[in-house]
Amino acid sequence: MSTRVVVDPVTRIEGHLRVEAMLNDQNVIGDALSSGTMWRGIELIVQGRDPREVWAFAERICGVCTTIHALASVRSVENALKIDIPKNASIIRHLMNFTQIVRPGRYIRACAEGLSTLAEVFARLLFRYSGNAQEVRRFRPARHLPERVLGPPGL
Amino acid sequence: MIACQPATTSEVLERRGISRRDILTFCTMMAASLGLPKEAAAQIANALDKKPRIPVLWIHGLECTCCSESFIRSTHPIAQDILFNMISLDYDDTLQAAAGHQAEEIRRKIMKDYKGQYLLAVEGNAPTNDGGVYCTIGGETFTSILEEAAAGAKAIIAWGSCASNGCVQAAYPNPTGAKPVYKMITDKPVINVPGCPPIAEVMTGVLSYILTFDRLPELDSAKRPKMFYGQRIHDRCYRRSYFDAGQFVEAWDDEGGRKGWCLYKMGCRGPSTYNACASMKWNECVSFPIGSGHGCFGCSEEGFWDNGPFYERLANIPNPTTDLTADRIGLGLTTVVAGAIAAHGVAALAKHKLVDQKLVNIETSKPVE
Repeated sequence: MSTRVVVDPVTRIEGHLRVEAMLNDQNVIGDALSSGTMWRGIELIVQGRDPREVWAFAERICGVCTTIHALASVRSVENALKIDIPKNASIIRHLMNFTQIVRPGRYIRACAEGLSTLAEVFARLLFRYSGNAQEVRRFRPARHLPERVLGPPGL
Repeated sequence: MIACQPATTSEVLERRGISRRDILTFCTMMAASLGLPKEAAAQIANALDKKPRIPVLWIHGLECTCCSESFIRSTHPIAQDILFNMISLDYDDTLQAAAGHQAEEIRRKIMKDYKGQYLLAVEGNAPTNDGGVYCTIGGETFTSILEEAAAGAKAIIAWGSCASNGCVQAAYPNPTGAKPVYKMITDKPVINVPGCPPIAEVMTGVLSYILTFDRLPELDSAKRPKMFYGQRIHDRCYRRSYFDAGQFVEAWDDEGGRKGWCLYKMGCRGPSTYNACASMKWNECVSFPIGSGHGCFGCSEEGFWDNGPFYERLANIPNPTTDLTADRIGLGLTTVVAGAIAAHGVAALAKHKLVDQKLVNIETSKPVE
């Protein structure tokens, strides 16, 4: 006799996710599926638009990891149009990408714990570069997150 | 954590070790940011002391969570803490620990226990095509969850452009039939807080106002709070002087671009966008798009995605040039005077001719000598 376990919604993630698992007699997962339960059709919406602005649409796929969608979209457009970018542009994009890695570190606990040392080094460099000393002091992902984000127990 | 007799905000804060002085500092800051007189600080403190925390259901439809991301970055750390405690955020599927059917049980319990008392915060909007299958939570369509939750709500806050006016999923051809909240729910007070995402301090400010005065702030015709959406980006833009001087960026990375001139000709929507970005700014008041050398998209305006292309100016307004030196003004005046004299001469001649033409013999229709 098998059991079907459904978790919907899966919380603490961006977007809507449903996970189903089929347990067999030995209580072992025999089959499982996951499904994103939201679709907005951004692929259809960007068709026929000015290629210069498509990054802004692609970025709205996720509000947590926006930058990487934007960078990927810009790169796709450049590949299609065979555009070579200057070295400085490439450096700026790398900086944006690393900033992105640091940013949700305050939000996603697991990610922050794993990356805290690395992220803190990057954060210090980046925020020193941008002259925002306040942000450096506030940035303590792993130690800050549990009470800051989750609020009082039982939320 | 869902108590039927919710504690007041001050009690919760004191339990969490936040001093009375810090609470009063927050109240003063909040009153100032809402543009209220100084007596309002006492009113806010009073509200925190006496009023129970408002239960809030925060539901997510077709969206990208950027509004939540913005919200949790509210500038003042105490404001952030306070707002997680000031409201009793009982359901938010991005932040809450419970998942699956446990999460849905909490939602149903709040809707039952606090019927007519809770605030419904909606992030994202509802798909209406194909029976609403494009967004489901716990097997129910978001459309039905929205209607069910709205029925027992005291008021509805539509966070962000998705809930306020449709945003990216409602852009042409709108494959999911996405509709903003105010078009779905017409029998409850709705407050729109547009922006993609809205500014964090605007979000916390709106919540503070509702808690303090127990009513929605004054709204404009688009149901936006006037205190934050009363002015255009253009009105407070630090590059406005370049606009007035007629100094525009004409191409990316040209001389004007390096000097930080006005981005109007590069498609900046600042002159037609009502939002507080230019005065409140983002990321702890560090900057806003124009500060980074990119024009405004107009993300708080209805239908901004279809009002493109973003990098081209669509409307034409006359170019006011006020950066004239006295010499140039003198030269200009001389030209104007000379032009006026010439125009006068031409007009006089024309008038003379006109009078000539009128002097005709009625019987013969020939000019009179």
